[in-house]
Amino acid sequence: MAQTIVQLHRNPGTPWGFRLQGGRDFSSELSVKKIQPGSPAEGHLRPGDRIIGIGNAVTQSLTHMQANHLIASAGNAVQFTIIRGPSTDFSHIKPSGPVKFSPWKYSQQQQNHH
Amino acid sequence: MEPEYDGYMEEEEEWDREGLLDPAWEKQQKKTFTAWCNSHLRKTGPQNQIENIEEDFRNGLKLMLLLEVISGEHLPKPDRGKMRFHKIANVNKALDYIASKGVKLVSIGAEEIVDGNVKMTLGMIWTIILRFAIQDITVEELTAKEGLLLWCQRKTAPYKNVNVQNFHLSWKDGLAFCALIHRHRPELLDYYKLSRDNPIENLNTAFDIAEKYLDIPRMLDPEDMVNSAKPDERSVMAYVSSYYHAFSGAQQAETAANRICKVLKVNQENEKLMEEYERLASDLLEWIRRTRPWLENRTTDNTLPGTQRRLEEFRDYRRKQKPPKLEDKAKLENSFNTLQTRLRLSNRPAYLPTEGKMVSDIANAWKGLETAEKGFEEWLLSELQRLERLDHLAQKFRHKCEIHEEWAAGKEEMLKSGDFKRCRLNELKAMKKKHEAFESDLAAHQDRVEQIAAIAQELNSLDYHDVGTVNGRCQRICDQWDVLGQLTIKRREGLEEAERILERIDQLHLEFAKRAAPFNNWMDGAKEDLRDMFIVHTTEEVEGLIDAHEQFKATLGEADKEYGNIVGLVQEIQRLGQQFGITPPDNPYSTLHAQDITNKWSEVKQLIPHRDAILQQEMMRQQNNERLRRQFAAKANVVGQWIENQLDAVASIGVTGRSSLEEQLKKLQQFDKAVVAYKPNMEELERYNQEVQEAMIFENRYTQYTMETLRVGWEQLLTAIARNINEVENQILTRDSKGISEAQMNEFRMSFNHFDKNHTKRLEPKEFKACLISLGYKIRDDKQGEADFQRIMSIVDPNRTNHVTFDAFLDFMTRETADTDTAEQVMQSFKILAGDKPFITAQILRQELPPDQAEYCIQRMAPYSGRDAVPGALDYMSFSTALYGESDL
Repeated sequence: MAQTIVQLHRNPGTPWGFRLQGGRDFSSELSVKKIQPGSPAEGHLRPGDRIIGIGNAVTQSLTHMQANHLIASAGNAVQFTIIRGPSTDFSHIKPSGPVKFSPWKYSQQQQNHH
Repeated sequence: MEPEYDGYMEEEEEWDREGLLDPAWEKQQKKTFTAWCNSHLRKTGPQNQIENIEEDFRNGLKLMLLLEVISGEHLPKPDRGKMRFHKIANVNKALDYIASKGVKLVSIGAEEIVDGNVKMTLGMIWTIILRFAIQDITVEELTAKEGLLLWCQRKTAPYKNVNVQNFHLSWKDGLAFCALIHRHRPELLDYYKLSRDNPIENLNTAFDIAEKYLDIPRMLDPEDMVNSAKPDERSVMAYVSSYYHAFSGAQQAETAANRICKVLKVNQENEKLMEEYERLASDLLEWIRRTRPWLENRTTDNTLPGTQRRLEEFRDYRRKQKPPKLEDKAKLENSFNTLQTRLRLSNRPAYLPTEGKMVSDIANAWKGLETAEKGFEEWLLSELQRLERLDHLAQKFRHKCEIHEEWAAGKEEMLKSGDFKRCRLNELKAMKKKHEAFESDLAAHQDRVEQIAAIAQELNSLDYHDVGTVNGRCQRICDQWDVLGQLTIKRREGLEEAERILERIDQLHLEFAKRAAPFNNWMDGAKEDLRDMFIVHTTEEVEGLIDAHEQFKATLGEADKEYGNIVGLVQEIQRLGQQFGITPPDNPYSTLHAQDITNKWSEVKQLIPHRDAILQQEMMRQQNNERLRRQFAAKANVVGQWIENQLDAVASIGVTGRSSLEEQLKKLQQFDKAVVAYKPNMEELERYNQEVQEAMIFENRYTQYTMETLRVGWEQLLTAIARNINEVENQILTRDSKGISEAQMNEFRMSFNHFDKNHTKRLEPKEFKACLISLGYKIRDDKQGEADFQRIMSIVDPNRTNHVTFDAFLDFMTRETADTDTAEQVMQSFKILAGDKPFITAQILRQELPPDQAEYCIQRMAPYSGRDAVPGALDYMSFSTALYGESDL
């Protein structure tokens, strides 16, 4: 799995604009849940990204709040080591329009009638 | 000799008969000549010696005597008259005699002598001395005076202080006289103590010694010698000549004596030899006489040792006794020969031994001895041979007897032994073989016994000295021989009979072995079978066993008969043994004993009813089992079927998709209740099952169901119901939370179910993919499409179970139609409670939530620090996210 280094910058007083989830105390990997549009995080972090390093620290053994504080205390520039999560953008494959159930349904319905 | 007389004659002419004689010399001569004459005259007796030289010769008698003595010859008889003419006649006889000895008497007349003329007398005496004492002296080539002088010089040569040149001055110091004595008789004086300074002593010493030891009377006077300027030559010569005669005369005498002695010795030796011969001859003849009878003795004690002893004696005789006698004989012969030789050499007649001791006698006697000897030796040797032969024969006899007796020792006992009555057949056969061998041996020994008897016979005929012992021993041996023969026959008979019996017994043994073994095996088998621990599970099996048992019982009659046969064999063996007094051996063919067979047979017989009982018991047990099986089966079938029905029913709920989730739920819950209500049936079944298990029933053909399968089925049913309930509840939840309509839900469900070919309520990736495609998803059949699908799989199956549940499927399908942010929803809920404010108070929480939850929230909510905060404001937003492990940054 390829690791990526991501550098974030923000104007002071501006939130980073992403939701952090996971941590040791929740028995789950630290990851990005969602991104606020127009935030400094947009374009750098994506939902589903796994954060494995904050600055020089490894996140594996951090609780959620420990990770949270670590990021918060990093100032206006923070470096993350991440593994990109799978893109949940299926826009190019999902059907356009409502889900079309297969014609077989009809044959089934017909079967059931028999 | 004539020329010498000339010399002598010259000497005589020196003499002046008319008063030219020195008075001193005259004195000396008188002394000396007197002494000299007496030295001869004393031999005829002391009365014939003269005292007065001018007087004592006047009658001529002593003169004649003197001449006789000196010469050793006889003069004519003196005239025995006293008349002058008689005297003159006598003196003339003397003078004639002297003349007859070759002396020319010049100027000496008988008348002057008769008249007593000293000078004449002295002269005449000197002539006599010269002629009879000095003339005949010959030393080397010189004679008479020169000879005497030379003799003196030669004899005194070793004495350095003596120098004899004449018959006067050289003799004055007396050393010459001493030297002469010392030269011949050194033991008579110690010469080297003498010194010329003691002439008188020397002269006296010499004269004394000469008188004492040499029988030379003193003729010189030491004083005269020393005092006179020149001693009288003639006196000295006369005295010295006495020395000459004494010493050389002694030698002559010695020689003569030796000769005499030799002659005497020869005679004596001859006599001795003769004596010796006589003695030896008698001894030898005596010894021969004694010895012959001994050699001719032919008596004998008839024993070898005795005869050997005699031979030994003979040898001793030959070695020790005869040789010395042989020596004697030789000595005898030698003596005889020596004697004869000596006699012959000394011109004597030959020796003739006394009668019977002649050489021929001795030779004959000796020959006789040797003949006797030879005869004796021959006889001894032949006797020895004879006795040796006898002895040897006797030895042979004894030796043979010994060997035979050794061989025969113990044979009687052996033959009498009843060992063959107590042995095995193979041992008996061996004994029989051994006996055969013995019989051969016995036959072979027959010869020997006969030999022994033959030798005994010979010893008898040769008159052996100890024939009694021999006969005794021979008899014993022969008697024993007969006994042995008889015993041998008896033993043979015994062995043969025993063999027959043992063979019969052996047959019986074999028969026994042939029968007993299989019978024993059969019994063992029967015992095994009768004791066989069986495990049966069906009545049919028991019936089978009972059948087998009955069949077995049917064979008992035969078996019993066989048993009888076998025992019979053994009894027969016993009987045979008793009858013939033979100890039957052990059965070599079998290790089984009749007793073992008997014991086992009674065991078998006992086991039969025992088995009957067991089998019956088992039958009953099996029948009971059957009952239990049926019981269980009946119930199990019902229950099993019911469970299956229920499972089917449960599984079919929701399949058609027509009923709503609530309806499904309700149905499921009804099933649940029904199942609970049905539980007692399971319990009952469990009880039946326990009985079955306790009865060790392991299979039940009345039912397909086992307790295990039913339990499993039951569990499955429970699980299915529970899970289905769970699933339905989840679906309700999902539907509600996602806001999907029932119809949509059904649509989704039907799609899912369609692709869930094996009705596992899960889709495999393939199925899921197909499903997605059927729903219009554009998943391409290439790398990109595959990557896309993998992305989708990582979302619907994050735990990589390789399955997609309906919930996950639904979730994925509906994810954009609903806000799945659960934290948001909680936040929304709080917001509603908080009256749309960004904070909440404890008061409101206590109002709206149950007390526990309210306190939980109050304690954990962080104070709200926004600009619009009021006292006690709590931040429900961060709390909400924190609940889900989420926080905003």
